[in-house]
Amino acid sequence: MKDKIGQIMRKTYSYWWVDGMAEMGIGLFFGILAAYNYLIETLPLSATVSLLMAIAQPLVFLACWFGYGRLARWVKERFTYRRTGYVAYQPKNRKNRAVRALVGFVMGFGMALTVTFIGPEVLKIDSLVMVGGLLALVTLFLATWHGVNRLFVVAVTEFVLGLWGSRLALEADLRSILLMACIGGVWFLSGLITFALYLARTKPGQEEA
Amino acid sequence: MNDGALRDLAEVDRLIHEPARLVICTILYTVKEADFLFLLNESGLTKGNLSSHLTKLEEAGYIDIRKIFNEKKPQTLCSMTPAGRSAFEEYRKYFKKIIERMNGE
Repeated sequence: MKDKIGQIMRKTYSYWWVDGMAEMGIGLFFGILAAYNYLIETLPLSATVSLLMAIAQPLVFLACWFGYGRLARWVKERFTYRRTGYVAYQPKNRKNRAVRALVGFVMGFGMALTVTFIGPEVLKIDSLVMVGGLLALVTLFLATWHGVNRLFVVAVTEFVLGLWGSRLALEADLRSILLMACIGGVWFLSGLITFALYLARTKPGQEEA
Repeated sequence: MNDGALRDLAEVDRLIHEPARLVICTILYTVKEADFLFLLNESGLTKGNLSSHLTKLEEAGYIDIRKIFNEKKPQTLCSMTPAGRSAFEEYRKYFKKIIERMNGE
C-alpha cells in the first residue's frame, strides 16, 4: 500500500517530463553556456569586456532560465494541458528552497572541486571525463528518481561524450566548450524526440460533459 | 493479524480507503491543483466514475472543485483542502501503523 502510494506520487511528479520540454530546456541551457563561453574565448574582446562578460554570465543564465520558464508554460498551455491535462505542483516553502539551494551549492562546489582538482591532480583522470561522468551520475539520479527511462540513455551518452572529448586534439577550453555543446545537443534532441512522440501519441482531450 | 491490527483496520477512513479515491487523493495530495483531464488520464477511471468519486470527496470537504472557462472551454480544477490533507496524512499514518503491527507478528 505504502509503495503503491509512493509510485502514484512519483508518477505524478514525472508528468513534468512527459512532453520533453524539461529536457529541451536543459539542452538550451548547456547550448547557451557553450555559446557564451565560445564568444568569450574567441572574440577579439578587450580585457575589460571579457571580464564584464564573465561577470555577467550568471545574469544571462538567470534571464534565460526565466525566459525559458515562460516559453515552456506557453507551450504546455497550448499542447500538453490540452492533451493530457493541467497540473500545478506545490510551491516549495522557504525551508525547502533553502535546503535545495544549500544542496545545489554543495553539489556545485563538490563538482567544481572534483573536476578541477581531485580528478586531474589526485585521480589523474582527464577533467572532461570527470565532467561527463559527474553529469551522467546526476542524470542517472534524475532518471531513477523521476522514473524517466530515456534519461538512462542520456546519462550513458554524457559519459561517452566525456571520454570522446578527452581524446580530442584541441585546446582544453575549446574541448570543454565542445563537450557542453554536444551534451546540450543530446538533451535537446532527447526532448525534441519526446515532444514529437508525445504529439503523435496524444490528441486534445475533452472535459466532462 | 492480531486483534489490535483488526481494530485499527476497522477505524480506517473509508472515504479515502476506497481504491479509486485513494488514487485521486494521492494525486491531489502531491500537487497544488489538477484538472479533470489530468485526473482522468492518471487514474484510468471513466468520466462518470471519476465525477462521482470527486463529488463524494467534495461533499466530505476533502477537496475543492472549481469550474472555470479557459479560452471558452470548460475546465474543472480540483485541489485538496487542508482538511483533506490532514485526513490523508492520518490515513497514511494509520496504514503504516497497521503494516508495522502485521510485520511485528
